[in-house]
Amino acid sequence: MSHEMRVLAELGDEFARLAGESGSSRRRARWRWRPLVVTLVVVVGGATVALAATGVLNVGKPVRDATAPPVPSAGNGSGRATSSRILGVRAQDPGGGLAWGMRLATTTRGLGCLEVARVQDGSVGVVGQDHAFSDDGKFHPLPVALSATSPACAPLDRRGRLFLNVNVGDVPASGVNASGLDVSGSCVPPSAHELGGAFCPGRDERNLYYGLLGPRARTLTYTGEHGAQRTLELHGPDGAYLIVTRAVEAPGSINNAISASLDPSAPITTVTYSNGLRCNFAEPLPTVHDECRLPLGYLPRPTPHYTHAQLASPVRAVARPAGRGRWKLMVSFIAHAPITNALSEYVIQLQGPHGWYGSSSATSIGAGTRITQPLPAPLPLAPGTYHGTVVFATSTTPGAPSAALAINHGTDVIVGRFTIHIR
Amino acid sequence: MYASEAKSVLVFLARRTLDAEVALGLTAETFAQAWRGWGRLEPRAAEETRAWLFTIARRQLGRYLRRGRVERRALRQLGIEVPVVSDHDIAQIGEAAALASLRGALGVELASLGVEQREALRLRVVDELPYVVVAQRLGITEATARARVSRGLRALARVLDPMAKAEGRAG
Repeated sequence: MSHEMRVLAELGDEFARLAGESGSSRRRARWRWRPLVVTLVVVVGGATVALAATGVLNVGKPVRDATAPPVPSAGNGSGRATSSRILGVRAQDPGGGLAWGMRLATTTRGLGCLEVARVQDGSVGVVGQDHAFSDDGKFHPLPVALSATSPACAPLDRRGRLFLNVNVGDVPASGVNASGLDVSGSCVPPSAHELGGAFCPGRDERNLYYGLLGPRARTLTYTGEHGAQRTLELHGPDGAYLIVTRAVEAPGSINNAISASLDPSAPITTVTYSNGLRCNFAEPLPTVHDECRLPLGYLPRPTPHYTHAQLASPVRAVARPAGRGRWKLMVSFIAHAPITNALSEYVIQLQGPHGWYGSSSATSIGAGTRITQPLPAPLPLAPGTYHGTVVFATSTTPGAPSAALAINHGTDVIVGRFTIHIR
Repeated sequence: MYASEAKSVLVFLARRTLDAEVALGLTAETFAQAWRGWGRLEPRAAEETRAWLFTIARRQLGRYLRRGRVERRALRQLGIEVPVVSDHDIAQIGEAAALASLRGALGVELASLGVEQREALRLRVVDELPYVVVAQRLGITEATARARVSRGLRALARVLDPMAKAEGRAG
């Protein structure tokens, strides 16, 4: 079928194929549908049986990253080509089938990221179930490149190692748990009630607890089903662990949320180390043993220290009307300190009538560069005078990238101040 | 029917969702449902058949705006693969549907919406950011971002709909 648009031509070919299969007469077409449907059921059923018997699924088309490609000098950065590796840790799925596994990659902006999915033949991917890939029962490998929106990332420590603990709730058993992936047919957890429609059945929802506790960590104890304490050996030189539970079995609900931190949290209760140290994370944080405040072996990266005198720059701010009482704000200054990774950034803040408006550079910058940056959205500003600042912000919280900084963090260095008058 | 109407349906849906990929998914499901219903359709004039097709398309659009998801039930039953949309395809569909000018007009109308829907729509429709980025910017889940965008589009239907009749007659 000829069509000027490729996608319409290809879609037309699909219908042409269908027409060829089912014939042109109405009566014949109706009768030929039934064998087709039965055949599909048999094939899918056969695939399921094959999975149970051999543990190997047919490989389907790769999962596509639906987001823009990562930029090496912005945000999390892009994955370093040689850094991506599948770790040896595995977890069985409560419903059987392919095991779950974990992939580690480091980025051009000094972060390490973890991705968890189903594993086959040394690849992480998604199974065509829970409406993903039209329930084709195949294994669909994840993109080789790290997604720009990979949510489980944290700064590498001084030795270039990642320490990170991640909890993700209500993940479909298919393995779909990264929001930037193009698996639009996948079911959604009932906690995403705004959507309605294709909810994942409760039996197909999983909670994932995974992370890296470092080379000196030995065992981890967590609260499992019915409150039972379970202990597992940590895996390999990264101290990796991966726990997969049915969502309904988890202590407490994660409610479709993801959390990532340097410290383990529920359901993890205890971590032991090679020197005999035993850290109990079930206790309130203030009572945690001092040696347990950071994972054993974790060495924070040095953070740059600047004074106001070193970074001071005149700041120029221009407000242009954007219609309907809104103003576009453009701020310009000289960045005397370079930004070389995701741990530091320049933040523009404006005190508006209803609170602070902020914008961060989130990109690598050479020393002495003139930065001209807009605030992301036109601001609703009534006539009056408004004050703002440009600050150099650095993460001082171990494991937290600078994006996690609160405005007016105590360690920020003020680059300059500006005032705008709206008439 | 596909050869003569596919582009019209795609443009129709693109101008109401402002999203080439969503529009293609809805177009595919529309024709898949039309395929299933074709056997039960009594012989009609071409104009009536066309109106029937656009009724299906409108129904798909309505479901999408309510749920924030593209229905794929008929596509799954028929085993039809929807082509993956490249940046070039998005640009081509956008050009065919004149989305740039429509986005410009909508930028003004966005001001009439509540702040949550407006910001979600602005980021997705005007700035053309992926849903995941919209969600990050707004500090909400991707699912919530999709829901806000679809609700916002529904609220803007009064702006988008007057063009529907003209397109339904055209082409």
